Amino acid sequence: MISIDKISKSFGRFKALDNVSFDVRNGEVVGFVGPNGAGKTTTIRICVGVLPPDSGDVLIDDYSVTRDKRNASRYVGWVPEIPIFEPDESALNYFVYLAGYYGMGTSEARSLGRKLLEEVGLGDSLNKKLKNFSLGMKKRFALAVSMINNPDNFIFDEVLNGLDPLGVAFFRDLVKKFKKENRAVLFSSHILKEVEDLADRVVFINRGKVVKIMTMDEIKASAKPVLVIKLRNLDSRAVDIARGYSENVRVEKDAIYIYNPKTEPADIVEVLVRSGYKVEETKKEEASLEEIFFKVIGESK
Amino acid sequence: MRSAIIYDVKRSLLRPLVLLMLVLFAALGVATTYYAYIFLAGYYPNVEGVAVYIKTSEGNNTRCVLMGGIFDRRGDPVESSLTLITNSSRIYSFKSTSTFIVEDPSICRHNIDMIEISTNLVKLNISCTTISAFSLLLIAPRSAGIYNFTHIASSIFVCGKSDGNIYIGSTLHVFKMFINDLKSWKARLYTFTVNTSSMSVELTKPIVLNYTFSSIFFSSTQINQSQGSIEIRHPIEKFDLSLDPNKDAIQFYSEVDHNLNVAGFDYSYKVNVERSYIELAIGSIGLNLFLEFFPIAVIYISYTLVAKPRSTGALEFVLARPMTRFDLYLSRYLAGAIIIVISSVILSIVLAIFQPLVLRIGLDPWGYMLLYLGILASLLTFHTLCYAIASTTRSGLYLAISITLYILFAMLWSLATIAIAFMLGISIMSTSYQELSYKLSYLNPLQFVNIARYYILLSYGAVNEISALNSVLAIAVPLLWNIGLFSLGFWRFRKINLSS
Repeated sequence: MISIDKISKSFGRFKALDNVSFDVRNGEVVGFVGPNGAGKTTTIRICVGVLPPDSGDVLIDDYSVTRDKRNASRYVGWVPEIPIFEPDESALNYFVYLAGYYGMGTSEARSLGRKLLEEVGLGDSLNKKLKNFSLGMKKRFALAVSMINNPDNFIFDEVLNGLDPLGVAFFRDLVKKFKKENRAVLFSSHILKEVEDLADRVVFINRGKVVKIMTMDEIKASAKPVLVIKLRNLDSRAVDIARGYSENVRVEKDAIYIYNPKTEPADIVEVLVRSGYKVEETKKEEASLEEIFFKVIGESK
Repeated sequence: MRSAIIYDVKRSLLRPLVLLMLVLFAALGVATTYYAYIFLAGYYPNVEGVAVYIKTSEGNNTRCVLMGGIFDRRGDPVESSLTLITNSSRIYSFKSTSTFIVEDPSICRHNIDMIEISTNLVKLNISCTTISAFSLLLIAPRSAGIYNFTHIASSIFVCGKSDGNIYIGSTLHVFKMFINDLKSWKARLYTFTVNTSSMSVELTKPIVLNYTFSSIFFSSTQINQSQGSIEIRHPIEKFDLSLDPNKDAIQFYSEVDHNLNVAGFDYSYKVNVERSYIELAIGSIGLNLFLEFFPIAVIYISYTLVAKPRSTGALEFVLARPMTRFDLYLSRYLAGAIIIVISSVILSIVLAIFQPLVLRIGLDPWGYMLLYLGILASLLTFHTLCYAIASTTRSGLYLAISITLYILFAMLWSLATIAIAFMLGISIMSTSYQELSYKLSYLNPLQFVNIARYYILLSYGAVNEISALNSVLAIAVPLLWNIGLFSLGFWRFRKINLSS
């Protein structure tokens, strides 16, 4: 479990984070979304202990990253957006080096390194220098390293960025697998469709502040569907009928847009047909996370 | 974390530049020390041979004895092969493991011109001359006619450089003295005694010689109080003497039949030679080259361990492991420090083995330990300085600052010292300048080794005590430098943003 408790961070006069708090529970996937510069990466870097907060704390399985980082870091894996390693090292050697910080001996680390690098698809690049790795390979390598201690918590920062479809699918499946294994996963992404597909909850951040935390059910519930009915003989009477089912009705070309209708679409269509209108097409548009995102972010401005 | 530190050490130590510098300076250290030794040995031989050759002819019966010894600078016998040469012809050869007495008529056919000596270390020739009239005049007995002066002179030869001789009654004693231990002012004296009446090496009775020390060479008026005596029982005798560090000469005397016979020699020359060897040992060109140029490797080590990964952002990924910032700071610092410890050990071992074994020069173990600590203090403090800068600046700025400091500390320091002396009105030829140099050493990590060198020289009595330097400061200053720089570096590092 990852508990972020009122963390704040400033860079000079710029306040990057302001009292950010939220949790990622075991078996839960939390999407972390916000515009560029909102504070996602800063939050994540504080969570993994590479950046000290000005105030507040992060608990990883009850271990404080500020006061007990050695333990906290044992229980969290991190894949950064752009992993940077010491470039002249080979993958396996660097893995062995990093495993040393987990108290692992060389032979044990080499054997684990081979296994994990194989698992993440780098089995044929064990002795390749890290400077020759593509971004996707680097992310896979970072993932292998983050799995050294088989932690219960994972933090992925824009992990899908710059990946080919195979890479995207790999990480998507991995998140689902981690969820099944009752691990806590926090992942930030610009690809809101992926967040929508994977996350149980979404934390919206803007200008260093958490502006909203919603479960996917809440997002779906709060989403106001739009019923679009295309009529051959659209007139003002048809619009009046539509207004009987919603306060928010709009006409565009030969279609009536009924926002958040009070009843099922089939009932509205039936009334219109009975009233002598020829319905050419109906469709119900659900509000996407993207719309929610813009709405939430817009409200926070 | 231990295996991670070892890994850091390995990957830093095994960098081509670091390895190259280690091998280069070990080789250069050996080569340059050897050449410096050859230069010094040209003036002050490291192996000396001395022999007394007696030739007696009575009608057709020729009897001859050769006695002597081949010694190293400390007065220890050296295993050697000796070949007697007359008119460029080798007439007789033998091996000697210690001092020797050879009696063989075949060596008497011709007068020996020189003896060719071959040891594991060197080859040298010592020429033989009859004991000169000058020598005999110095020790001529007051009542003439007791000895056949001309006969004796033509019959006794001394080969090599002796330290004088003395006649006591019917015995001739040839001296050879070595400074055995400058630190304790121990000397080793060999006497080679010839019975001039029998022209043999057989002594009829023990001879007692008193000795005294004096500042003024050969002043018989000083011989008023014996400061010791030696008793000669055998033709070749070895004595261990304690020299007076406040005097320059030793004089042996004996009063026989109211005749005072005196022989003496100035040992301050030998002391100075010994000091030259110690200075060679502690200030060999190889060591100086190492201290001058290995800091470049030190700069590079901090660059690879911290400056570069910090600039690229690679340290951040490492820090995400189960460690604190202090662990990261300390582990990489230790990796660099271990490389310096290893490098300094390698250099010191090369010096400590090469100098005494091959060159027969060198320091006592404490001297080598002190020299090692001095090298370590210099390089480690420079490492701490570089590391502190590397941890808190970007790689480009780090290189600029560290190279500037290196140029100042390693190359321009002498000029800076001269400039400061000039400003203070101190002549560079004065002892005040020497004191100023030592005092300024506290401000320059790369000069800490000079403080160690000073204490080595002081322990050998090869330098005068400087009141401004004391052992507490000598230990405290490098410690403070290291603790201060390390703390300052971490104070900055703990808050610094490690992302690229």
